[in-house]
Amino acid sequence: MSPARRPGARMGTSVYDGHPLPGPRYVYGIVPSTAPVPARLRGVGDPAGRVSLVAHRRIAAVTSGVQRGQPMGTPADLRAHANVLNTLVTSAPVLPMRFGGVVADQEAVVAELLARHYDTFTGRLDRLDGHEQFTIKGRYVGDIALREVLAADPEAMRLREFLRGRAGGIWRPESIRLGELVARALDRTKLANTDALIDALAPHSAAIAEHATSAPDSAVQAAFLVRQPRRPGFERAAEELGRRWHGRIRLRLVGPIAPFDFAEPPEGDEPWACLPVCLRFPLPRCAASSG
Amino acid sequence: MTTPAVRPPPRSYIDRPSPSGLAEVLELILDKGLVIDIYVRISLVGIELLTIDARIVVASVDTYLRFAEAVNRLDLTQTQTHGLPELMDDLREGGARSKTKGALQGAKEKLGETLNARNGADGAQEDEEAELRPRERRYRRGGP
Repeated sequence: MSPARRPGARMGTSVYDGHPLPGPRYVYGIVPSTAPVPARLRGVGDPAGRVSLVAHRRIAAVTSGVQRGQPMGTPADLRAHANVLNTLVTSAPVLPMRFGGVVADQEAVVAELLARHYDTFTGRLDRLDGHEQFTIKGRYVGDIALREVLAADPEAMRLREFLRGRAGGIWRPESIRLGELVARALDRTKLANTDALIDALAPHSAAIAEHATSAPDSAVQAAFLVRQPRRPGFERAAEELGRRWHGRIRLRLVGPIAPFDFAEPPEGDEPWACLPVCLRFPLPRCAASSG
Repeated sequence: MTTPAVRPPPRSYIDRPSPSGLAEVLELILDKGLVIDIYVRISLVGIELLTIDARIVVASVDTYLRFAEAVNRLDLTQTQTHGLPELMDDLREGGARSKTKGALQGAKEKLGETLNARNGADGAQEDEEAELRPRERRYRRGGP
């Protein structure tokens, strides 16, 4: 949609408040214009801004007011951003924006954001409809990962014995070699664990986004887009994996939450459902709706 | 993979933390979502820091040395597991700071301190996870 159509776009504006909202607007995400917004929902800022929709045709931006010069990016702001989107997604599809986006004013929200990207936003919202995100993280229990690595690698064990109690200790070149062996082995272990996680949950998921994390005790981490009717199966599969890994990897399941990891296709502006993000197990629903 | 022969008592084998804790929120939203860069017309103090921090990479040699240290400390005669959390603390606190400290790192620490300072009041849990670690995503492609 081109900027030339801006006057028409402005006429299409409707705001839940019934009167124009003054000043810059913080933008949380995009929702269908019919999405219900709880009256008590509070956004970023101090005092927290009141959340309201700025609508254009079928879609609306979830916004709240910000004051110029107001410091932002506090933990409370981060939580408010996530909370607004996680609340809305319980009753409508949500396209999350990255934290910290501010648009000059309400008019610009309509003309520059909603109208200009109307087709993209409606397409993605349609595809996200009926889906929720779950994020799973797993951490190794205690030092079990290190123990496994040592047990499986005679060279690492030998280096360890060589270094133990020897003068110079950690500063010897053998230390770097040992650390390198351990770090690489841990990476391989994480990869294998991540494969197992994805194999277990892919049958219940529409799409998967893997997170690579460098935190040494982090075993696995990935986000899953799950169709609502498949949620019980997904949760059962996660629980089963948690049982299988009990004592070795502790799993944490966060969700349902807004689809933070699936707002954007990995490349280009194509509908994400048709892109590699659909992974090994493309959604029948995606396939149907895209072609 | 070993499955314990005796089934332990817990009702659930997975934790279900609230998505509103600071640690979870950082994981969830940092670097995620659509970017509306061309629409951002106001610079907001603090937000740039968060974005930059997420891309800081820890020097590998430093990391290796810490791993070596942790392995050396490991008591293999003991079956109880402990020690890795300490290593994690070391890796977070000491490693990067000692050798790779730069402007970005300084900014990160500053932000981390802010987060930690606020955190007590917020009552968020497990905030050691809120540290801003390098993050990247890889998407799985189809096929075997």
